[in-house]
This record gives sequence, C-alpha cells and structure tokens, in this order.
Amino acid sequence: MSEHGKSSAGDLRSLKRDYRTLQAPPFLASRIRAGIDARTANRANRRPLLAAVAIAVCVLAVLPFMFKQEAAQQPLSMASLSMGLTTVRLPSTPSLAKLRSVRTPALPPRPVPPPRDKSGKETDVQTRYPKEKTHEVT
Amino acid sequence: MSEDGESDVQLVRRFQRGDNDAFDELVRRHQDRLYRMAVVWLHHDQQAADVVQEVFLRSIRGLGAFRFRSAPFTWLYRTTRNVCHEYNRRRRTESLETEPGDPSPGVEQQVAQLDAAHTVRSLLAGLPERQREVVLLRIFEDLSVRETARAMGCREGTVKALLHKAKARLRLDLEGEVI
Repeated sequence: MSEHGKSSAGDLRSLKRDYRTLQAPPFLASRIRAGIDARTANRANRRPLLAAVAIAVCVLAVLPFMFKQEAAQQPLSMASLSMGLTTVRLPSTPSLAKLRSVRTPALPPRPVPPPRDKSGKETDVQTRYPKEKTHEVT
Repeated sequence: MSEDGESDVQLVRRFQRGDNDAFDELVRRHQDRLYRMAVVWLHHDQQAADVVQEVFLRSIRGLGAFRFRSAPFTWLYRTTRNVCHEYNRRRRTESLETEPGDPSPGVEQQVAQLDAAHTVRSLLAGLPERQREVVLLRIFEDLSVRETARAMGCREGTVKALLHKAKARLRLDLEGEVI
C-alpha cells in the first residue's frame, strides 16, 4: 500500500474510532423499559373497554334475529297499498293552479234598504233601532 | 452478531416465549449502535434517543412475530432507518430548527462525544444517502458484505460498488480536512 493509501486508511480508522465514541445517553435502556411497561399497562387498561365494545357489537348484530319477522313477510293488502301510492303521488309543494280550482260557496243576496218618503226620512221606523241620544254640553 | 454467548436469534426466541429479560438484553446490546446511526441520520442527539426508544417499542410487536428470514439486527436497523425518515419528514414539514445536539453544560463526556459526532457527521453528510448507509454498516459497524446487503435490501455487488465510491469520496474529504 502506498503512503497515501496508508494515511487514508488511518484516517478512516480514526473516523471509525470517533464514530464509536458515540454512546447512547445513560438510562436509555431503563427509559425504554419504562416506555414498554407504560404501553403494556395502557393496553391492559383498555382490555375491559374493548371487551364491552365487542359485547355491544355482538348484541347489536344478534338483535334483529331475536324478533319474529312474520309481519314483514306477509304481502300488503290492496287497500293499504293503494293508500300508500296515493299518498306518494300527492304533490309536496303548494300549486297555484290547484288553489284556483277550489270552488267557494256563493255570497248571500244584498240586504234591501228600508223604504223612505219624499223628504228622505225613514218610514218603517219599527224595524229601526232607536237612535242614540247625543249628550250635548249645555 | 453477538458479543456475549447468546446470539440475537436465541434472545429473540426467548423473548417470543415471554422472557422479558431477553428483550432487555437485546436493548442493552444494540442501543448504542442504533443510537449512533440515528445521530448520523438525524443530526440531533435528543431525537436520536427518542428514535431508539421508538424502535424498541415497535420491536415489541415486530420481534414478537419475527420469522427469522433475516438477522434481528437487520430488522432493527431497517426500523431505525424508517423511524429516522419519519422524523426527518416531520421535521421538514414542521420546519423545526435542527441544532446539532445541545449538550448539558459541564458534562465533559458529552462534549467529547459531540466533537467526535460533529466530525463524523460533517464527513458523512457529504456522501449520498446510500453511500452513507454502506459506510455506517460495513465500515463503522463491521457488518459483512452479505449482512450489509440484507440490511440495505440490495445485492452484494451493489454494496461493494457503493463502498468503493464512498471510500474514494471520503478519502478526498479527509485529505481536504487535513490540509
């Protein structure tokens, strides 16, 4: 090996030595152990919750099968079917044409005015209510 | 892969049988290696420690179902790389400032470590990602070419080629530093 090669190899060796001086901080191993214990404890704490969730899911899955489904299997009668269809066909929004088509009852005849004489006074006084007296200030 | 009598595979098997001490032994054995890699990937000491913790937390599940198609360290390395990428992505989106490791004042060992880390980082930062990876695994962590290829998910020939290029580039950079 040439002198140049030797020095390069020596530099690489010293570089490796420098690299090897790097060490993990003290207590890293115990920190890792503590982290693992904490994570394991968390999992253990979650176990009852997971079990409860699993049971709830099972119950929900089984629930539909716990009741008889005969009513659903019977065909609908024609009356209920037609009523349902009619309800479905009704327009959901108010229509102006529909409003115009609605018939209103005829108005009653206009009342006839009471007969009057030439001076313009009412002759049929019996049909009239007595006039209210005005209270004049004297 | 093992410095002690028991291999990583044996430790993982023991862990899969419910032996938590085996897992603690795996942590002790690999925490420094994974931390060093995370420091190089992230350029941040505190986050590197967080990454190592996250990797071992994930490995509780991952190694529990490990099928031994590769070495356990390979799996740990890949997880570390993935977590580092996640951290980098998050950091980019949050546009956090990446101060390279603020040491606690008065801690001489940390200061020495940070000096070394700074040198290594600045040299490795000039390398493309795949070359940096191959230097970390093959040169710094003394993995075999085969193990490096498995860890990187490529062929052995690719590892050799990448290593050749990385060495050439590192030499140039080192000469530049000396001058």
